[in-house]
Amino acid sequence: MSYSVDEVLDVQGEICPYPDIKTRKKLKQMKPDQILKVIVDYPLSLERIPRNVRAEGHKVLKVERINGPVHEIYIQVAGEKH
Amino acid sequence: MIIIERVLSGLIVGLIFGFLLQRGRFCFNSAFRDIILFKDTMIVKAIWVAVVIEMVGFALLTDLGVIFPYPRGFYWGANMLGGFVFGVGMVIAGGCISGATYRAGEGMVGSMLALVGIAVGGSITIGYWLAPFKDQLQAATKIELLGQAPTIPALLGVNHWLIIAPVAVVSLFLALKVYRRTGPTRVALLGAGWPWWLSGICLGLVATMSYPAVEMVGGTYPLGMTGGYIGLLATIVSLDTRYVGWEVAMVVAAIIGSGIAAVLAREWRIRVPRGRLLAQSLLGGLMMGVGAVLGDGCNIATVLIGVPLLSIGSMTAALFTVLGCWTTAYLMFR
Repeated sequence: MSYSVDEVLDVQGEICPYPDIKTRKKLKQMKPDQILKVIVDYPLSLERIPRNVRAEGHKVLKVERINGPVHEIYIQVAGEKH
Repeated sequence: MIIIERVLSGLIVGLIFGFLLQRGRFCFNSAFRDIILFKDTMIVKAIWVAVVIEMVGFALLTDLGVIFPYPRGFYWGANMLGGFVFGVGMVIAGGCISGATYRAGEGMVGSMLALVGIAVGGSITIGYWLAPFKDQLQAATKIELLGQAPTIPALLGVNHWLIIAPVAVVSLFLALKVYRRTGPTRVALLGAGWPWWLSGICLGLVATMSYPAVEMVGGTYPLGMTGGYIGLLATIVSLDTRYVGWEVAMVVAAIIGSGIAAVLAREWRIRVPRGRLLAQSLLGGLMMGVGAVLGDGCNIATVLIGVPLLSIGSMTAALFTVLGCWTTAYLMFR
């Protein structure tokens, strides 16, 4: 299933923990129920981002491997702002 | 001259160690920093499991006469300052020494630069222009206990089991409680990173066994990585093989071991951060090198080996590494 993505964040090549920090910042700027696609190639952030955005109330719709460590994470912003 | 059995022992331990670092995502910077940054305790739980297993393992091996550990000394001023500088450096570089090692193995160019920084920073502190400062600070703040490096049991004058047994029992109880709450996780050995309990148990056992492994070939302290990178740089610069010992072989093999793990898990890729982050990696690495030599230990020598040996010096350095990490993480990312 494909989603209509509102924003795309490419954090490939970033050092730890910028992928997570930038994702969190982006999600804060977005409106409720909007969808963010994060492109990440850093294995630890790939595990940590879904874990931590869920804890912040957002919804992880899909995590898809593109090539090797490169993944796309689809996140839906929490219905009401936390 | 290269002593073959030292190099072989270092290579074998390093390969396994590096493989585990990558599979368990053992970056002590991520571990400590994520507690305050994301309230995430996944990696710090694994480190805690490893440290408690080593505490029991080292004490057991000592009592059986298998190993004769040399806990590192207590130089309160140098431990505090060195530990703090190391903690600041690892946040700036985006990884501690084991984190930079396993990510270099994953193909991260920023981490490779951090390792260069560690080697250079360590070298200037061990033998060049920062050496007089290090020597003076260590000498001025050195505290011994009956001519030996102070440990918690020696300071209290009690048998080490009196400290270790309660810590182990409470830890086991807490670990089981957390395990039950989070539930058993599905483990794919070559999939995503390992769950905290598995990587913690494996690292604890390997680190414990690294002690007899290093003593068997004439060493006194296992897994310290700063010395390995300093020796590697000295070898490359001087083209003299006399620096190639257990530690140099171990760090080189650790990079290869994590590389193998990353390839098998389909996580290997050459990754080049933009210019500012490369400079940041190098600068953080330099600070880690300086801090590790000044404070008498990188995060592996202090947290992973020194703390289970109950060395007061290593515990002080470890505590200030955490404080340096939290201060910097707060300033940079909040």
